[in-house]
Amino acid sequence: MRPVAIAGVAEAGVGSAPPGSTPAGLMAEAARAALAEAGLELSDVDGVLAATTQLPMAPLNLSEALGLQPRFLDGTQIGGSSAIAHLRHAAAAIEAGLCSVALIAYGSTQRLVGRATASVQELDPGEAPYRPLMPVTAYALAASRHMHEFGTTREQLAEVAVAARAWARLNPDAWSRDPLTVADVLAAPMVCDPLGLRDCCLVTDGAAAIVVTSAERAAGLRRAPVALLGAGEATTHRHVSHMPDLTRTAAVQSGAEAFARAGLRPDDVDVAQVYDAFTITPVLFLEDLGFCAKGEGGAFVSGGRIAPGGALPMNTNGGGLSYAHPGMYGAFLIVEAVRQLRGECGERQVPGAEVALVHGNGGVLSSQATALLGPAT
Amino acid sequence: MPGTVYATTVVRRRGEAPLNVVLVDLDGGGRVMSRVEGIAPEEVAVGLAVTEVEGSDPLVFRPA
Repeated sequence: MRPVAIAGVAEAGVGSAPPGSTPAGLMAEAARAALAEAGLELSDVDGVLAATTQLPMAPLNLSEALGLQPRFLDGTQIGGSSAIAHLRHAAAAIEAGLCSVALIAYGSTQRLVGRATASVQELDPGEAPYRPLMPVTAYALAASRHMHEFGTTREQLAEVAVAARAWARLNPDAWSRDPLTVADVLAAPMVCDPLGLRDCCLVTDGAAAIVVTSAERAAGLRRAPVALLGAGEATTHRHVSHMPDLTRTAAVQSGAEAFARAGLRPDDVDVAQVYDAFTITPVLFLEDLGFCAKGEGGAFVSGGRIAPGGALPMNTNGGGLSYAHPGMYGAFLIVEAVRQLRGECGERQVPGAEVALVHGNGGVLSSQATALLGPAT
Repeated sequence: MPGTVYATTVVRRRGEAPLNVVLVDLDGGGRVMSRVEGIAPEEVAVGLAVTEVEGSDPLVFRPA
């Protein structure tokens, strides 16, 4: 039996949160719902893991909001990949006996309060004089390099947004559900060449929570447990001018470790949730995770392969491009993967999904975290 | 200080002129963020040979 499993997941305030919402309040709401789904009580929680752009001491805010005094705390803040790193840290803590029920949460009110307030960009002193529009400028630079080295086209990048929208059209909870074509993506106003408005993720509110415990304990709870099969995390830089190779991310390391620990290969993955803050990001990560060779990501995402009915169903809730993107998206990748593996996804359900990959990205392609989820036995 | 454009973008802020931002690989080693001047922002291409605009502070480049 795999040692650790996810026993409950929930979201709160996704899209446009009610006026007066706070990041801690939304996290607490999602946490209570995730515990209820698992059939656990607040008093069962003895580990709290959280990070948000708005609360530098997020695990403390969440513990306070829930009236908890946990014996394990982790506030690892490595951007959008944080929740997947938290999942790995929670598993290690449970296996080491540092806690028995871990609560992972994320919450953002960036749409309510404005992105400039919610997500202050820390600029490198060597970059600031040139006025990059972060984070999008960094991703645009990576896209320009990928196009130069491998001949990747704007049309191929647009395929990522079009596939995400096709999934969102099957998800009544998705933020953007209007039809979207490659031509629409290409015609949208440019933000940072070669990325236009439709190559960029949404800006929404939202919270998510994940309850993790031993697979043994999870087996006796309310919902079918989803086991953590393997995970990895890695980094190459903080600021883009320090990134060694703009076409090769630390997903090479995080993915290799996750697959090795799980004893699986990319071919074994039935459904993938891959961080899509910008259309270039899944192209880079699918290459680095080994779904295709370096440089072939543009062709790989084309022709409907990642869309509904395709060989690699990806970002099945509509992703950060069309479902929601509350600043740091990692927790939402886990929630959708768990729902797919439990077969709860209605019209967008991937039939027979048994193994899911979740891959998160943080900063400006700076941190990468990968996890494989599947059956406990 | 000669170098080569490693990556390039055009930042388009509402109400402002398009602004080039590049990463330049310096011939002497190292990579810096900068801007290429004396050419339209959209015309700056990956692989373009550039050299520093003398006396510029912050350092900016022009086509070599």
